[in-house]
Amino acid sequence: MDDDQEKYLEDARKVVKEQAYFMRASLDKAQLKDALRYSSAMLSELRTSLLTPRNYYMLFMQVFDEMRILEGYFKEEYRRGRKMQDLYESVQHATYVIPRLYLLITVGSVFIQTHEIGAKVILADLIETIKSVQHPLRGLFIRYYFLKMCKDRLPDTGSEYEGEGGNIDDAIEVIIRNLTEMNKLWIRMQGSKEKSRRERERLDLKVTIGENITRLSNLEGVSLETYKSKVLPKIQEIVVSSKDVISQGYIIDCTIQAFPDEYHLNTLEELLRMCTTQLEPNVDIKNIFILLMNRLAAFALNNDMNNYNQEIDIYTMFKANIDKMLDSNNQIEFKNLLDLQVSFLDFTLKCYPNKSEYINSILKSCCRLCQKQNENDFTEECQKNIVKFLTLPLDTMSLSILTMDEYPNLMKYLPFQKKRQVAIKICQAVVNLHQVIHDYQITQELLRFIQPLLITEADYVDIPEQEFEEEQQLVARLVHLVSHQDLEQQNRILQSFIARFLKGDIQRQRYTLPASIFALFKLIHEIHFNNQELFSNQQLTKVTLFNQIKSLIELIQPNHPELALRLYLNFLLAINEVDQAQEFNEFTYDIGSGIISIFQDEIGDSNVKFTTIHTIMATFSKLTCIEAENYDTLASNATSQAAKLLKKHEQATGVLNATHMFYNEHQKIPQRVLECFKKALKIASSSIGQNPKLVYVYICILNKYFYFAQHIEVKEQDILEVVKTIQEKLPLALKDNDDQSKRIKIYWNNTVEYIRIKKKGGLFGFANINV
Amino acid sequence: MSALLNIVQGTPILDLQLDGIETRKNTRFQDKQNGLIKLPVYQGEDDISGVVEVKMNKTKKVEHTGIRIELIGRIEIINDQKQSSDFMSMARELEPQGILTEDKTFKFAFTKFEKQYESYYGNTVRLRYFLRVSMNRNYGSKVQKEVDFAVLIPQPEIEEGPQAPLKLEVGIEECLHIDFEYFKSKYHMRDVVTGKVNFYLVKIKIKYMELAVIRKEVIGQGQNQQTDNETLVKYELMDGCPTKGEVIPIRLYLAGVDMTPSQKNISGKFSVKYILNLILVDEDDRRYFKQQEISVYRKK
Repeated sequence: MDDDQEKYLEDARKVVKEQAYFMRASLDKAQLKDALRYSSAMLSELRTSLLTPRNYYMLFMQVFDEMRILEGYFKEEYRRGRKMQDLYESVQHATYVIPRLYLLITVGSVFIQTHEIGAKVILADLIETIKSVQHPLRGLFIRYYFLKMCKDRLPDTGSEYEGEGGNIDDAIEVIIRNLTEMNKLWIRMQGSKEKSRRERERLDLKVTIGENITRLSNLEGVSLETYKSKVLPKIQEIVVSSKDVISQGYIIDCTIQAFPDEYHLNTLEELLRMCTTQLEPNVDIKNIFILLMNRLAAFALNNDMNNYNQEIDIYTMFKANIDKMLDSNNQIEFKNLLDLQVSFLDFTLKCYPNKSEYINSILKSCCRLCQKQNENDFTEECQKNIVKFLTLPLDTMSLSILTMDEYPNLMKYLPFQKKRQVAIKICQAVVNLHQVIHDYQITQELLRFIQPLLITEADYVDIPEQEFEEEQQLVARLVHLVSHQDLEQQNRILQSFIARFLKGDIQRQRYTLPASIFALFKLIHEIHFNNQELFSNQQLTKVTLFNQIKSLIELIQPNHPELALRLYLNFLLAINEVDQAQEFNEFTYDIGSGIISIFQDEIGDSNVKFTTIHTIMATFSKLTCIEAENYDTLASNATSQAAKLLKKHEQATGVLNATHMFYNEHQKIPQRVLECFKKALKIASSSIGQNPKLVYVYICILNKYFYFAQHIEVKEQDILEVVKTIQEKLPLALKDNDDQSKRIKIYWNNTVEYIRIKKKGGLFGFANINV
Repeated sequence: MSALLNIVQGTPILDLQLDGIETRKNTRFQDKQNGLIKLPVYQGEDDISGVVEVKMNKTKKVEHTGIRIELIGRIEIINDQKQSSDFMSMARELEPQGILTEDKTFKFAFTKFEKQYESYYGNTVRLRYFLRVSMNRNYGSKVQKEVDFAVLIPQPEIEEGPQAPLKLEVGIEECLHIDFEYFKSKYHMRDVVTGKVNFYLVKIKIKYMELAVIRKEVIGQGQNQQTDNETLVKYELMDGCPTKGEVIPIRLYLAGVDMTPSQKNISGKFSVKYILNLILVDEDDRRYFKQQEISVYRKK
């Protein structure tokens, strides 16, 4: 069949090409009669019944191009004095309808251009004559040709053919008549056999019908008023009387696409009424509505709808019509209705962002719709739509949507995974909008909706680790959005989050609790600095909050000691900020000791240990909220932990850096600093024999000496001793020329440079250094 | 013997020149035997006049029993000359019996001669007008010369007369039901046949519809009557199959068709009728048709 098609097409194209060649040759020789004969032979190929619509179209286009040449020649002929009236008559002598009419249309189009006769007369004559083609395919194409040829020859308002040639009404009349006839032919194609093939073929041809609507919409004279009074009623008549599903859907679709939004806005009621009450039951009204709503929503975004809303209540019109469909029609599939609801919701959100009662009302309709369904009606697709339904309002309405009564009612139709999806969307909406969470009631709703993310329930389904992590981080971000002028309220909201988090297991708490802890830090900070009065309130005291934080960290500690350790360190800093009075000296000390013991007992990885001890020491060095004795204990413990690190150079640098715990803006104990130096040197010297690269440590020590020399008394002898050792060991250390050696070299060169500068400045301790 | 002499001596030649031939209108006929012929046209009260010339053509003297010119209107049955007959014949004596010794010219005229019938050249019959000049001789064969001309008869009485549409409802029970209408029943020769076809019931699969113009020549009468049908043109009116309720326009330009006026029982010898034949052809190539006679006239 398909092979045959190719052959048929090829054969026909060959003939067309051949005859077109002769036609042109005759035109070149100005032999019009011959040219007409050849063009007629060429056009006769369009009489075929063998081709599928697609292939016929290909053939048509080939012929079409050739006919443009002939048309051009006719124009020249006219200029040379040939009477178009005669030509118009003589082409009608052709025996066969198809070539005759193609020629007639072509001559007619030129005839109109001569202005010798009114455009409307010719157009009316053509449109009448074309009735001779009753074959659907050939009829559609000749009428399509008619449309193409009379495109710019209509007596449109402002066109050169207006006046004698008629007016806009005539132009509309011609096209409407053509549309009517084409629609009939198109419907006739349906036949009774091979339904699906026929439908496919019909759809292949729909553009030819749509061309009529395009013509209408391109008419200058079709103003809103004209559209309303003359065009739409005609189209409506055609649509309604056709009683054909494909045709109704397509023509309405075309009309919506072709005419401006403003027109639809002003004729919305008619349009909607037609769609809901006058179409065949199988017409996809949903798509039509969706299209219309999308158009109007886009229009609303670009225009001030207030100007329109006063006169035209679009929402109510849609709502009434959609509800009518929901309630009356059982033939429309549930999923399609849901689709429609989603679009309607989207539309309403865009056009009426402030009307939450509209949204709630749509939600209500949707609930009513869902109630009517059986459980197995909720297919994957439907569920997706419900998810959309629940999440769409979030972008514009954000959390206030959660207070709507119908919201949870819809949620219950979803299985776990979909609920989780909605939950995530809700979180994302809040986070992306940086929506401040300040309403206790809404928070409760929010927590209810995002429950699937918070607690493992019976219907829980595992998801990949990464997704889980992202999801939990999203939840964690919510906590940071909690804020309220009244700190007590803020605490209340925060506590409700924490309470819910505590019901989740440690996998989630690992993400949620740290966030909560930091939120509590923030709260403490705000209490301390902004609102001292609150302390009168028994419920919200530092003690309570401190204890709570401690207990939260303790929850994390068994599974994530490192995380707990870091949280403790931050906790120390948080306390330090608000407790200059050292009221919590003992409490703080306990935390500090706890840190040391976690470090000692629960951190195994030596690399982690090395970095962690530095963090610990740095944190300790900031503390002022603790009494001297306790501080000394903590600092000493930290120092001895440093000395116990795995590698010698780690031990030495660790101890060396411990110096800062003893001498900084808060602590000034030179004695302990020197002890650290001593200890570091001892560690270094004990191993430099085996490992010359420890010279690096010596350079560190030297630099540290330089630093402290500005604050405390350092023996020059000690410095020189270190320099001497460095100079002795350096060649050995640099021997390898590996990365480490390079680093040492760079460090040393920089140090030497430093010394030179300082020597020039004549500063203490440098005078005798020779490098 | 005398015949032999004639050959040697030559035969006198008769020549006939019509007056004003240069300016007279011509018309063309497709003659069955002679092909396309072009003839001068005489209408209404036209006279026909001219000059006859007798040329000696190397003969020294011509003895004759009289020279005369006749105007003859004749109906010829092409395949049966015996049935031919003259419906008119007029004669003028140009020269009484005598002897001619040199070339001589004679003027002649038939004033306002009767133009009863229109010239017609058909498949089986022709109606022709001609002038015949003849010189009878006792010795030697008769010398004669014929010159055809045409008589055309405009029919303003039809042109101006009342028109009635031709309407007909036809069909096949449960199968096809149409009515068709030609807006006029009388057409001039370059007229346009217009009309429409209403489809009320279409249960057959129509492939196309065409309109044919048939010329029907009827010769003889009673039992001897013979009819010749010629389809002059076939014209596709509709491509494809309409549904009920469709109205298809009819428009056929007769200018492209070889038309003559209708002729009705001319001199009891023949008639020429024009028939419009509306034909529907279905997908199985079955033909459904209906014929309607129209009357064709000559416009003034």
